[in-house]
Amino acid sequence: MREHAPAPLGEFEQMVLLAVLRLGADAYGVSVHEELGRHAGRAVARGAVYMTLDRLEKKGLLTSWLSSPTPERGGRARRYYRVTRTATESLSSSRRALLSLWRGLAPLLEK
Amino acid sequence: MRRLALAVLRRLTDDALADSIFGDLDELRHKRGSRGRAAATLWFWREIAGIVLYASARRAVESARRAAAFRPDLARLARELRHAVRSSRAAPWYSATVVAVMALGIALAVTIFAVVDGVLFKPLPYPGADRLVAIQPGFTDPSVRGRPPVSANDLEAWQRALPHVRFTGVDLSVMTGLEAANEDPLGGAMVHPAFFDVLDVEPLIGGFVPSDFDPAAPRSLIVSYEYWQHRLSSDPSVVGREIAVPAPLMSVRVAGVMPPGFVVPGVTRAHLLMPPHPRLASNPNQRTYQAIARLPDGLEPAVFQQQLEAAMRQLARSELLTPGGSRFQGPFDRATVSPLADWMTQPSKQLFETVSVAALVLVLTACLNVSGLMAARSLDRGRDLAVRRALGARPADIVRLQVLEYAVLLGAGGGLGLALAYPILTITLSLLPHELHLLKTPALDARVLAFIVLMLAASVVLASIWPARRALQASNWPVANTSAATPRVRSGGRSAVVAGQIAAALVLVVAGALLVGSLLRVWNNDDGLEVDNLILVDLVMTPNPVNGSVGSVPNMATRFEQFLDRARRLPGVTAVGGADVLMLSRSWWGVIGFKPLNGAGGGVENLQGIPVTPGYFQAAGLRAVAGRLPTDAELASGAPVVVVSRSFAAAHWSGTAALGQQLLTSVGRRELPPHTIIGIVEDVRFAGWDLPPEAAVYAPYATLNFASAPVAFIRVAGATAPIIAEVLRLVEHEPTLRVRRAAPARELLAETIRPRRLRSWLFGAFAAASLALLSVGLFGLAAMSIARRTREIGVRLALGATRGRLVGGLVAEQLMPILTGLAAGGLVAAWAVRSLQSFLYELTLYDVRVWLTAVLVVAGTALVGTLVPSWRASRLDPMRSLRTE
Repeated sequence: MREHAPAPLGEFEQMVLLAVLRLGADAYGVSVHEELGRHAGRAVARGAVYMTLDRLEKKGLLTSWLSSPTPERGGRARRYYRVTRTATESLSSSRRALLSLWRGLAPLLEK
Repeated sequence: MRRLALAVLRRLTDDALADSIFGDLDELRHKRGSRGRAAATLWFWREIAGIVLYASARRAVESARRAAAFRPDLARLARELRHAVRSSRAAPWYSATVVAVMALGIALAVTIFAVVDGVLFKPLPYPGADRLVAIQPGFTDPSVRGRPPVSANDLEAWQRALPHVRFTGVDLSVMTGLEAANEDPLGGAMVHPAFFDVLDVEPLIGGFVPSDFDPAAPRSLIVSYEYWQHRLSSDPSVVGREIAVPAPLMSVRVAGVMPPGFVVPGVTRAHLLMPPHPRLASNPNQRTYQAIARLPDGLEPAVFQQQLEAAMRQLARSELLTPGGSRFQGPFDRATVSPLADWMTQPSKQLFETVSVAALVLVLTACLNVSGLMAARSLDRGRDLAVRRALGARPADIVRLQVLEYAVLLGAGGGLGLALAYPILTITLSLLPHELHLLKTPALDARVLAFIVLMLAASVVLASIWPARRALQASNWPVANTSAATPRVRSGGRSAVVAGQIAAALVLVVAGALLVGSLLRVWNNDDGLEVDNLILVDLVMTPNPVNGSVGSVPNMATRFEQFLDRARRLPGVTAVGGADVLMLSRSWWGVIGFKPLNGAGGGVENLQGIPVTPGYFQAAGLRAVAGRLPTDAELASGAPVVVVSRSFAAAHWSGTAALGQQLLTSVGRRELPPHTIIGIVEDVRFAGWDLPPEAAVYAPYATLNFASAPVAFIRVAGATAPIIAEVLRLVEHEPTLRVRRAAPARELLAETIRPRRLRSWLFGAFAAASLALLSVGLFGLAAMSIARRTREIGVRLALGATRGRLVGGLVAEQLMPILTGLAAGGLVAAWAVRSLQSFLYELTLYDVRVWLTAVLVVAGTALVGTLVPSWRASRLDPMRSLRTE
C-alpha cells in the first residue's frame, strides 16, 4: 500500500488507529471493536469500526493481511490490520498538538 | 437470507470488507452459541442489520457530499454573469456587432425551420402513419400515359383480392362552392366511406354515418377544426346545423368536426370533407379517387406492390374494356406504392431540403464571424486575462469567464433573432404557394423555440472553441508587458475564419444569383396579353358538387353571354370578351380538338382549341400579326373561321402559309363544317408566366356552345378595384352563377410564379444576409487587428510611409485568405448548385455572367470590409499613435 503524507485525522479515526496500535499483531475487526469499547466508555457502533478501518486503509494509514480461514468463520479468513508509518506520524503530530493545548488545563477540568 | 445479506453488504462496501465482516460475525456467533443458538442467531442478524444501516447512511452522506461539490456556486455564477455583462458594455461596438450578426443568422434559420418543420419533420397526424401508403396505378403499355385516379369499384376489387390490407380513397378535385369570391380556396375533398377508418382517426365531434353515402341522401359535410372555431363559433351542438351554400342557394348539413391538426392527404388546407357527389356515388366505375391503403404490421410497401400488381393482373383477365372506351379507362396492370408521408411532401421536399442546408450554411457563417470577432476581443483583453492568471485564476476559470461572456452575447443575439423572425416569417408565409402541402401551419411554436435553444447552445460551443483558446494563450502573456498593444499574433486560424466566411458567402450568393436571375428572366417574359388594365373573371357554372343539379350546355353558354353583356354596360369598361379556357392555373388544355383537313400541317391531330366570344381579342389586347381577326358578327353567328397562334402556325405550316388552311372539329358526335384559318395572333402563356406559350386555335363560341371553364376578359379605362367590386355585385343574386376569382390579370400572372418568387426570396435573402455578415465580420476583424497595431502603424507613418502604401499593405495582407476563400467557395458552389437545376429558368447552372457577378460581389464586399478600417488607420496622427498605451 502506498504511504501518503500525514493527513489530518478525525477523533474516531485516531481512536481506531490507537486501538490497532495497542492490539499490535492481534488487531482485527472484532478485537478493535472490543478495545474501543473498553477504553471509550460508551457503546461503539460495530459498523462505524469496520467503515473506519476500511477508510483508513484506503487513506494509506493502515495495511491489512489475511489469516488462514477457519470453519468457525464460515470458511473465511480474518483480516488483520497494522498501522503504517504515515499513521504513526499523523498520530504523533496530533498528540503533540493535543498535549500542547492540554498543558495547564487539567486543574480547570477537575473543578 | 445469508446470501442476500452478504450481497447487500457487498453492494454497500466491497467484496473484501463484506467477507471480513461476515467472517468476524460468524466467529462471534460461534462463541456466543454456548449461551443459546437462538440468541446467538438473533444477535448475528441484529449486528448485520446495524452494519447495513450504518453503511447505507454513510453512503448516502458521501453521495450528498459529492453532489454538493458539483452544485454550482450560484453566487459566483451571478458575479461572473455581472462581469460578463459589464465587459460586453465596455466594448459596445464589438458587442453590438456580435449580437447583430447572431440575430441575423438566427432569424433566418428560425424562419426556415418554422416552415420546413411543417414539410420535412412533423410526423403525419395519423396513428401508425408508417403503415399508410399512397397507390398510383398505371399501365404496362408505354403508349398509355398519365396517372389516372381509381374508382370505388377498383377499391372494392382490391379489397376482396387483398383482405389483409385496408383500402380507401380521397377525391382531391373538389370545388366546395362554400367560399366567397376571391377568398382563398377553403379546400375540400370527397372521401370514400372507409376514409376515417383506414386513417384510424375519429372526428372530434360527430362523423359520417353509412346513410350519408347514399346518393339520395341530403348533402352533408365534416368541417375542419379551424372552420368550426372561426365560422361556427365552436358550437358543441354543431351536428345537424345547416350551412348556406352561396350558389346555388341551398344548404348542407354539418355532420361533424375534424380533430385539431388533422390534415387531409393530398389536399392543402382542406376545411371540408364530404361524401362522393351523388352522380359519382351512383356510378362506382367513375375514377376520381387517390387510393390510400393501410398495411398490416410486417408487410413492406415493396412486397405489397407486388401483391397488388398480381391482383391487378388477375382482375384484368376478367375485365373487358368498355366498348368505345380508351385504354386509359381500362383495367390497371401496374402500381407504384410509396409511403404516404413521402407522397404528401415529395413536391416540395427537394426545395426545403436545399433551403435547410442553405440556412445551416448561414448559421455556420454567423458562428465563424462571431468566433473571429470574439477571438480578436480575447487578444485585446490579454492584459486583463494575464492579471487574473497572475492572481491565481486557473485556466478553467479563464475559459469559464470567456464562455459565459460569449453565451451572454449570443443569447442576446438569439433573443433579437427571435424577435426579427416574426416579421420575416410573416413575409415568407405571404409568399408560400397555396398548393404547398404543409403538415402544420408555420408558427413560432414550442418546437421552434426548442430548436432555437438547441441551435444557440450549439452556436455557443462552436463559436467559443477558438476564442477560448485565444483567451488562454493571452492569459499566459507576461503581465509586465506595459505596452497596450498586445503581441502581434500570426494567426492561421484567423485566415481560416476569413476564408471560411468568404467561401460560405460565395456559395449562398451564387445560389441566390441563379434563382433571382431566373426570376428576372421570367419577369421579362411577354405573356402575350396586354395585362395592364385587364381583369380576368373565372366563373363557375358547372354542376356544384353539393347541389347535384346539372344545367344544359346551351343554357350555361347563354348565361355566360348574359353575364358578359351586363359587364359591358358597367361604367369604366372599354371592352369585354369571353373564352372557355383554364387560365393561369399552371396547366392548360383546350376544350375542343381540331385537326387539319386532309392530313395537312404535318398530319397532327387533336390541336387544342379555345371558344371565344365577340370582344375577346379587343379585351385581351391581341392583334393580328398576319391575316385578320374575326368580326363580332362572325363570332356571334358561329361562322366557320378560326384564328391561330404564331407558334401553332409555325409548327404545322411555315409562317403565313397557315392562312387559308382548313381545320376540322366536332361537338359531341356532330361533325362541324371545316373552319378556315383567317388570322394569326401572338402566342399567349395561358398556363403561367414561366411556362411556354401555348399553340392555340381560337374558334367562335357560338359554334361550340361550351361553358366548362368560362373566363371573362374585362378591359377597363382606370383602376381595376372598383370594377371588380361591381362585377361581384352582378352575380350576387344569380343563383346559378358564381365568381371563383376576379382579379387584375397582372396579379394573377404573378400568382403563377409564386413558388419561383418564394425560392428567389429565400435564396436572395440568404445571399444578402451572407454578404452583410461577411462585410460586418471582416470589418470588425480588420478594425480590431489594426487597433492592436496602432503603434506599429504610427511608426511606419513616422518613418515616411505614404498613406497609400500603408493602406495597400494592410489590404494585401488579407488577399491570400480572400483568394483562398473564393477558390474553396467556388469549388463547393460548383457542386452544391446542381440541386438547383430544376428551379432555373433560361439559365444554365454555370452561367458565366452570374458566376462572375457573384465572385465580384463577394470579393468586392470582402475588400471593402478590409479597406475601410485600413483607410481609417492611415488617417491616424503618428504622434498620437506612438503615445498610445
